[in-house]
Amino acid sequence: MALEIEENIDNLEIEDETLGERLLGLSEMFPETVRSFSGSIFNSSVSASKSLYKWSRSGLWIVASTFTILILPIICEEQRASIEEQQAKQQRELLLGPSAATSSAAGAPMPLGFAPVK
Amino acid sequence: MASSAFGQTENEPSVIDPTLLSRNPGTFEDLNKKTKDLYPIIFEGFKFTLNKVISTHFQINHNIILSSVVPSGYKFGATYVGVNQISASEVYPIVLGDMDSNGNLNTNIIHQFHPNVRTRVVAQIADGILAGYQMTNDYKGNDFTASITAVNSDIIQNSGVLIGHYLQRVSKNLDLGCELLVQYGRNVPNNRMALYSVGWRYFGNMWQFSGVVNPLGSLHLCYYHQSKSPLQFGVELETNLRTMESSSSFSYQVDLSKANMTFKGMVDSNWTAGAVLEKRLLPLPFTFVLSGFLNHVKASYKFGIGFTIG
Repeated sequence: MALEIEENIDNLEIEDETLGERLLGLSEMFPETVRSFSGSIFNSSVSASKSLYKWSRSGLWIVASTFTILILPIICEEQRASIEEQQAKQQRELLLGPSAATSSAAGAPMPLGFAPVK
Repeated sequence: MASSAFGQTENEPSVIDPTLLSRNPGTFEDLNKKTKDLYPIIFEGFKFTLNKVISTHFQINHNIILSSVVPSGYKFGATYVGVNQISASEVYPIVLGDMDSNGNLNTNIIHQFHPNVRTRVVAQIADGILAGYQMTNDYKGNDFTASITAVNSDIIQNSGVLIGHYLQRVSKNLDLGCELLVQYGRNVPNNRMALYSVGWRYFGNMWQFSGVVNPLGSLHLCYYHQSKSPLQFGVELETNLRTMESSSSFSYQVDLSKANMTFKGMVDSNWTAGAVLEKRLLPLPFTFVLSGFLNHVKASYKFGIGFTIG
């Protein structure tokens, strides 16, 4: 019983290292240059991704707001104008009739002064 | 989409400038005019204009401006066009004036004494005194234009500014010109100071490249291009080689005539963008104007609405 307690005490003193301490010890396997180089690469990639995020935020805002002011009204007006033109064309076709077949089938008399469009 | 982005696909022969057809190159001040005309007139606030035509010779307009940036108020303007009709669009003399509610007056009188000689007088009265006045005489020869301008010439104090311009059409693609500015008076060092600039315009059928250079180091270059029918664009660069400052802008104009709309936009190297949309609301003679301005550096955005009747 005393021997077991001693062994337990010995084991407690020669306690296993924690995981962090083991990994830290492992890094001593690499030479100093490799360690510092990989450290600086890691730091610079973290800061680069942070600044990339910040820049892409403001860049996206600038591009989106400038596009809305400069290009969007032209597109909207152009589409509206073409839709109006199509509607006017449809109205004209309804009124005058694009071909003899549809007009005769409808049976409506042609108003005077309008020649049937062939 | 039924139609392409800009509608028309057929090539229309377009004549961009009557001065390029005749041999006269226009005035020196109009060298960069085609590019400057593409620049949108950005304003802030609300602008209302009522144009009334009283007779074929006389028109008046009432303007109300409500804005937090520009001093607001009411302005009354009048235009008189004379009886000397040179051609379909040019009638002389022309007298323009506008006055606001504080009594500040701006006037413009243009008259053509002879088919080759045109005179223009500009006067400004502010706070009850004559603040600025300028008289310009242009002589338009066969393939050149010469003009003399006197600004704020004061006979009593013997001070003022005299500007002389000369622009010559050198070949069918090139105009060259120069400007001489003389400032004289007691406040001027050595009683007299003179400055000259050289300008050129090199153009083709659909484009123009023009510039004005100064020995003080200021350089102003403009390029104008008319591409597929509704789109015209221009690039402008202003540099001062002494103070090492420069700014450039890209501006464009889209005319959608079937939508009765004109759109002018610009992007600047100072991280600003602006646009003006002008739409005619037919069948009534109304014009609706929207203006927007973005300054990304200061994060300040300004917008304006305008409405014109007549």
